[in-house]
Amino acid sequence: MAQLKQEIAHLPRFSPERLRIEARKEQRKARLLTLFIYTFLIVASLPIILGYGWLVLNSFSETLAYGVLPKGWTIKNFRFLWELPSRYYPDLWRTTWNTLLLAVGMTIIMILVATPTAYVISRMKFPGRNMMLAMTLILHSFPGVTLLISLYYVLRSLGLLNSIVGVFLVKAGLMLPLGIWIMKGFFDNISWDVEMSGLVDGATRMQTLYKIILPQVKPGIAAMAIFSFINGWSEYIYVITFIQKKESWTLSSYVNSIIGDFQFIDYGLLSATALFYILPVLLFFIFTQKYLMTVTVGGTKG
Amino acid sequence: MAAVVLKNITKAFGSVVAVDNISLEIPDGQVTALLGPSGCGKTTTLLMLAGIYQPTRGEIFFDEVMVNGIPPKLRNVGLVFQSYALYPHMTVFENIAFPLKLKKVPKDEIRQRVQDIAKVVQIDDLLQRKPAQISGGQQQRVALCRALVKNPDLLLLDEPLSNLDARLRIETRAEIKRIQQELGITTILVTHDQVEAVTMADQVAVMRNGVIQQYSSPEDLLLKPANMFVASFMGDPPMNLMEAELSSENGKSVFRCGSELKIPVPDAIAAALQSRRDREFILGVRPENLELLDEPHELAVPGTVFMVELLGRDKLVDFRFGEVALRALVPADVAVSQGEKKWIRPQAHRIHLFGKADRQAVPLAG
Repeated sequence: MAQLKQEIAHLPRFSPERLRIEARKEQRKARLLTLFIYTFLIVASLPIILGYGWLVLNSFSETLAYGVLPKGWTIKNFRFLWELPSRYYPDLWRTTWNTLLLAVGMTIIMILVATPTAYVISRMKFPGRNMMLAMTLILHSFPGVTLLISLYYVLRSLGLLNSIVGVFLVKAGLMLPLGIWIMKGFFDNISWDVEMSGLVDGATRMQTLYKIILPQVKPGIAAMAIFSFINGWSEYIYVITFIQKKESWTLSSYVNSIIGDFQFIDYGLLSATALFYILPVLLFFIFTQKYLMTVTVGGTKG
Repeated sequence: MAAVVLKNITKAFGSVVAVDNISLEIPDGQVTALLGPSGCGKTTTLLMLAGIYQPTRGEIFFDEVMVNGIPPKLRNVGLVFQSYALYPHMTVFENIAFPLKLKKVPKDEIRQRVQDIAKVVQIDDLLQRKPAQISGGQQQRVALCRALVKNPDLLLLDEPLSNLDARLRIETRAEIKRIQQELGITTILVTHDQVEAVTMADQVAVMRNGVIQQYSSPEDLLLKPANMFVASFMGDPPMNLMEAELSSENGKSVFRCGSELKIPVPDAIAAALQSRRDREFILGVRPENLELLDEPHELAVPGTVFMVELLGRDKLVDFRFGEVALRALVPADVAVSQGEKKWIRPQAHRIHLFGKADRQAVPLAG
């Protein structure tokens, strides 16, 4: 750089040589920047890549050399799929079913409750509307952990301890504000003109909602549904706290018990179950990410 | 088709009065424009006619039937929004067919009617596209089709041309006018563009702050403005407006405008003003009503050209008299250059006077 600078110092402002050297300087700068960006991104994503790489390799290896390096190829870590690892564990498929129930339940309740609520909040004026908006936001910003003990008592008095329904209700209550906020944003983005247009074209308010508004917030509903499914699938803290009975376990309690219940941790088994736990979410995400990414294709202005 | 009457309509949003006690009679089968700057209440009026808003006070009649409280779906009006408000998830065909589907028109008839109306505005080859895949001008025509396909009694257009580029605007303007005349449909056009209002409408209501300033034919708006707002809002380039004091000099009456400009008063105006007490007015004369003469004339004012602007077919010649500016519009081929001395003669019957206090037009003979 410094050398180049010296070289061009004596050249007139717009001479061809000078412009050529300046252009070379710019190219060099751009290349350096690209290099820097790549280095930064690689370093930043290294922990994630290494972590998951280790998980996958380890689930297929017999032992760990030096406590960390996977060694020896086997699938015996996956034997939990067809037999109980020990009598302490509930049936894997039943546990998976419970997890699925929680995830799907969350998805359905979010769609059925958050969507209409968000529509009303976005489109209608009623007393207490602003207060409601503020409250949902505040409620959502409380850390859920602070409610653990009181929720435990509430669930116990309702007889919902040790049941998926209990966890489902708690989760739904805490997730709905977020879902409502997300959906409200989507409804806010639809212009009033389009809705008025529906009314003038001869639709009732309900028809306008079903035929014109909802189709346009589909990506929002999809995003929220996926989000709720993943959130329900990976729920940990409430499941661990409110469910002791093994028949009601979900996969997160299952993995948790592998870490906690043994004298020494069977890393092979742990990795294999963890992989089993992650895989559906991963597949689900790969198939649905197009909905998460899409933003409405607007058609109101040219 | 329907004649529309608004009787003492007021619309308030909370404490903000958007439309203030307006009354209008809109004749059957013609185009009526609501013209005014943004925020004057013209769109609110339109939405009240569509039934989206309910008036706070007053009554709306369609063919002598009061329609207050009747929902939009029963009013049979077609509305074209400024934003077009097409349904982005539907194809062009589905967009246009939507009003008919809601009316449960048989499928074959829907297809026929959509194709017929699409042919009229030449979008019949776009029916399978989505709104996002067609141009702004095409979207505009789709919106027009959707409004027309149900044979509405009343067509409402909210700034239908303002999102189009200049050339397309002229084409579409003529197109809408042609369709309107073909169908003979009562049309109400909301616009802030005076050219649009004047070219398309049979009569124009100029609005400001929720009040109608003048309701008349386009010609009368330009030739007989009812007050100073209409005078300054209409016309391009804008009317010359200046404070003028009626006084007499050497036995002849003149308007004193500022310290340096004295405009001789034509006899007809002097006679008309004789009965009035007030001596102070706002004088208005349009640039195109100022004649430039090379020789002195008893009704002309001498002036030196300050600046000349070429506006295509015309030249705008700017004179300064102290703080008062006077602009004259002459054909582009008239030779006039900066610093030249000219005599400026206002056409006597094109001088407008407005009361200084109330800003209302002073009636002058002729």
